[in-house]
Amino acid sequence: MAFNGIGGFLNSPGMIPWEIVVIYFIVAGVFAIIYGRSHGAGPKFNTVDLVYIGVGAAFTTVWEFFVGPFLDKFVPAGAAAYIGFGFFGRILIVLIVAGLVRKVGTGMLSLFIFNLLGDIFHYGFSGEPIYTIYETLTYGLFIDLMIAITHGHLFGIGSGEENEDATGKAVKGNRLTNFLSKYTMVAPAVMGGVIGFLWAIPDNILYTGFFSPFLYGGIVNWQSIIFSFGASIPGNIVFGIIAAFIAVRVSKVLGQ
Amino acid sequence: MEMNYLLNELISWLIFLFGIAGPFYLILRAIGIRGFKEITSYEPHTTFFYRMNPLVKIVFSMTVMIAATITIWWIGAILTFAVLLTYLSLRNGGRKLYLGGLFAISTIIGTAWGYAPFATSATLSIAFPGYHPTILWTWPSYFSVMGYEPQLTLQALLYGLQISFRTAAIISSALLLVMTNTPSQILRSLHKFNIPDSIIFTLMVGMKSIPDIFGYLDESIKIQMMRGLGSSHSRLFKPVYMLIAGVSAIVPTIIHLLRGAKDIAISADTRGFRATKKRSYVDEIPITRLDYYALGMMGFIIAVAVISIFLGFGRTIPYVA
Amino acid sequence: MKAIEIKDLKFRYLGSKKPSISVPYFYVEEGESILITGKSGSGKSTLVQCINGIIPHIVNGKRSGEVYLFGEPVSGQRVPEISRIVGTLLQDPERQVINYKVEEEIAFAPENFNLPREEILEKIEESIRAVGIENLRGKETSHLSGGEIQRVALAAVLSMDPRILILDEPTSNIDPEGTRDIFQFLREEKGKRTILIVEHKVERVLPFVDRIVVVDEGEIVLDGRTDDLINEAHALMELGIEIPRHILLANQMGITSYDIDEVRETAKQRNMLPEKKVRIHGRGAVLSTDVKVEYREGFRLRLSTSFEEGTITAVMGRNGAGKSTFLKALIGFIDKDQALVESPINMGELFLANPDLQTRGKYIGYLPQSFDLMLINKTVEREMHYSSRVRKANGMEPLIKELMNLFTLDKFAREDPLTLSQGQRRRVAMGATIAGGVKVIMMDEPTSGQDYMHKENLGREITELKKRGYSFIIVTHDARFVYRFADKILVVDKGRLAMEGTPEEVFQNSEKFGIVPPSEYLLRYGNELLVE
Repeated sequence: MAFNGIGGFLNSPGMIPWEIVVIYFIVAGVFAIIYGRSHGAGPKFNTVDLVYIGVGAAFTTVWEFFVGPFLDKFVPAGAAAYIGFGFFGRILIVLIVAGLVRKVGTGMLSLFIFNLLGDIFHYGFSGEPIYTIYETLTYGLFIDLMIAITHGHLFGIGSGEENEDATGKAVKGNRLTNFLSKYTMVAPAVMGGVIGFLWAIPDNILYTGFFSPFLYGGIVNWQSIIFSFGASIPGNIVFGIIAAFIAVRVSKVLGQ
Repeated sequence: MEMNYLLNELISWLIFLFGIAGPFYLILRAIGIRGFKEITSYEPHTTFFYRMNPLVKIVFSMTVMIAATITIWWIGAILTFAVLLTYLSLRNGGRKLYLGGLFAISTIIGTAWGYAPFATSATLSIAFPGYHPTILWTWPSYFSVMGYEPQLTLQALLYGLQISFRTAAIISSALLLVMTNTPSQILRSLHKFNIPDSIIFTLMVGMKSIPDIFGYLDESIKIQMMRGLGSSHSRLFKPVYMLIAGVSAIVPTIIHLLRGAKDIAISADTRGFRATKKRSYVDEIPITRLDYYALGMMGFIIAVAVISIFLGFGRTIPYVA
Repeated sequence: MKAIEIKDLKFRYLGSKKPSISVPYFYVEEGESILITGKSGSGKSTLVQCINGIIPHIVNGKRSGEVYLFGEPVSGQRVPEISRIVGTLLQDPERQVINYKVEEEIAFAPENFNLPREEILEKIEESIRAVGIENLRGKETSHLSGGEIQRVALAAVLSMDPRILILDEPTSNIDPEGTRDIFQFLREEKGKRTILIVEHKVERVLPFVDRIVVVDEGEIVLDGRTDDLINEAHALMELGIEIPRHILLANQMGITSYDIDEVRETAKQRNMLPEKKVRIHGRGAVLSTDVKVEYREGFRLRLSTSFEEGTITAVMGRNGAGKSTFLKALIGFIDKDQALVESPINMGELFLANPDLQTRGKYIGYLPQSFDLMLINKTVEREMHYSSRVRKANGMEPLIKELMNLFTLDKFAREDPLTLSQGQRRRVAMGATIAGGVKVIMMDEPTSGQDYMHKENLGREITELKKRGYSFIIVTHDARFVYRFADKILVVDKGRLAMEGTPEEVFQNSEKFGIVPPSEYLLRYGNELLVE
């Protein structure tokens, strides 16, 4: 009998070895925190950040559980591998929040809170804590890695500010901010696209290849994993790019 | 012959459309965004669910979930309906039962339909030992383009129902929690687990925002309708235009909410939020005798589930992602 | 002792080119009560946020210089520490209340400081008594009126007994009775602690402040004792500050009293009373209706009335009287399963029985209070064309051009409406509503949270549109706005039409419905019961 809906199966044929999964989570998590801290984007949230994250997670919850599933009904099943409105909504909202807060940990905390809200409103904590750990350290972490790499200037937001002081006079920025503030169209497109691509990995590979068998004894079929992964990439990239530009727009509107 | 062929085509498409449009109609027309707001918001009342400790209610939804997961689909169905019936004890119980019931039905149709036509015989033969398909309907061959299996079988439907009742039972019990407790009560009870204040606060903001989001989305959609969206087309397409309006409403709604974010944060910070490592709570939420009764009831549910498994009513169906 | 001292302060928000506030030197003595005023966007809220530590600790931007609280620098303390000294009440009551129950909200601060339970209970009691909200004990914040929530928020701020109290536009979003209660509290508190109040309603605050500070374009342009500054009423007016008409008149006549009755008497003798306002009536009904709403929760509204063509009608009354419900029923915003709604409409030849949004929206425009929710297009131009686009209506171009011009939107045509200032966004929303070709426009609380200049602009715009044959139905609490611009008032009370008439007729007896006549009306008519 499964505890809280977790079967704990580790020996399904074709399953990704659990050691690889654990090592991935540890290495990626440590990297994000250390790298983020050393670049002034440490996980220290002020209260506005927390409110942004809370509201964003609430919005994602409404979208994924109450609105998105019904939009998806309009997608013919044959195209479902390519398009998922519920999921695209998640990309959009999480990237908007990430663009506003831009601190390492934003992605992970957003996904963490989203999972808890999902449990309270929808899932009733079934399969926990596995889902929360899984989503936080994949979808959330990918965004945090991007925030860490850009030194807190996700999609180039705020990079121009580094080059001016309190009176608006120009000061010398560093190479990264100079670069980002110069390419205001390219930076969001590239970063949004990369995040969109990365977001195609967890559900298609990690979930189907590890968590589904681990939790429920799901059957692993690598042919279908590779197909659905490949099929979801274009849509995810396009939505990632759109979401990045909307995130830039929202951060401009809110003056963050 | 010709007639039969046409009839077969027609019925196939009707079934197909019902699976798609049925839940959709229930959600958009019968429940509506306001209805969602009602079944996700707290309203004060004094009956037993309102007096139970929130943690016990969380354990309750987990119990229902476990019982529905490990047993055959119709036990999940009984659990779903039993939980829904308890809605009658809530404030405006009849209305909540109506809304919750519609939501459960739409979830059941939606989820079952999301699995049944796609369940392969390979999956079903694991699910049903000695699998002999009982064919209910044969789809036109070109339906395979949408990923449909050539035939819809009874076993495939049962497979869909098995999954959908699990979801429906969990949703019905999870909504009980949010309808009978304020976010602060839920979080005050969570604080016993030493969850950091910043996370509790973020969750509280999220929980408080969910009903507001429904309200604002509703308003934004209505304004678009008022301004004429979809008015040059037949009323039949209204749901489609409501969806278009829903998508267009995302950015203004999220911006409207986030504009208020600074005020919420300032209001919390200028009142000492996170001033000290430990926070005190003036209103402790006790575990009362009622909670022990409820826990006893949950033990009973699990016991019944376990006995059902021994009687041969356990779940044999794998969940294939 | 100096409670607050500011030296060489400069602050610039991210994304703006110049500093939003720049103060070389400023101080406040302990126990002083100070009014900080200026038009919207002048930097007055930024100034107080530098004092309570929101800047630099919460708001992103670049700051230089320092603010000292009782000698201690703000930048060296965390906001929670500062919050023990400075309490802050914000403008929007609903946004600042976090908890569900009144007591929980008041307990929030003491809980954050980890005080023992008994002490928290004491503080709750003290705060409830100080603000006089004993009647709200045990209630839920979501069920209170704006004015009540604002007093709960004030009690929640007082629970830490701060030595400095900042009130940032505390009455902008609440009804007149709520406003009166807040001001009553301030009157009693004067001298007991240091109070900084940011307000547009200068007239109401004057009796209990010692000093007035005027902020304009990020700088303190005037700072002086209340009595001295009042002599510079015209200068203040030029800075966009709402100065009561009787004070201006007193200035003009060279008298020192600001008592309305005295000013009125003198003006009458010198034949200097303000002109009588022209009200339009007798043009024939553009819309008549008989609205019935029965909510499942119990609230009922029954209101039968008609609106004249080319007029402005104000709908007034207490919070919860049914004003917004009336507008929503007219346009068809109320869902069938929420309430039974009957709102047949007669518009000349046209009779609309069914409250269908898409049909009614063709003839009536509705601007909700949160008009931002309406802006779904990426440019102002597209927003203005939205209705004609989705309705496939041809020939709207001249009207849209005319409206873009009237609302001075031409220069923003290609901009993202959401990035504009609040006043500009309001104009886009209003323009886009009218651009749908409607002739009747309903607005829910367009004056709420707006400063004097914005309200004057709004008034001018609707007056101009009225001349072109448009009719307006406006829900508002602002009696001065109504006196200046409306032709007729409907007073709604407990779901019924309580009074109907010109502002002159209604203000004679409106106080029992929570509507305080504006000083302009009192100056013109005093307490004369008969309209001249």
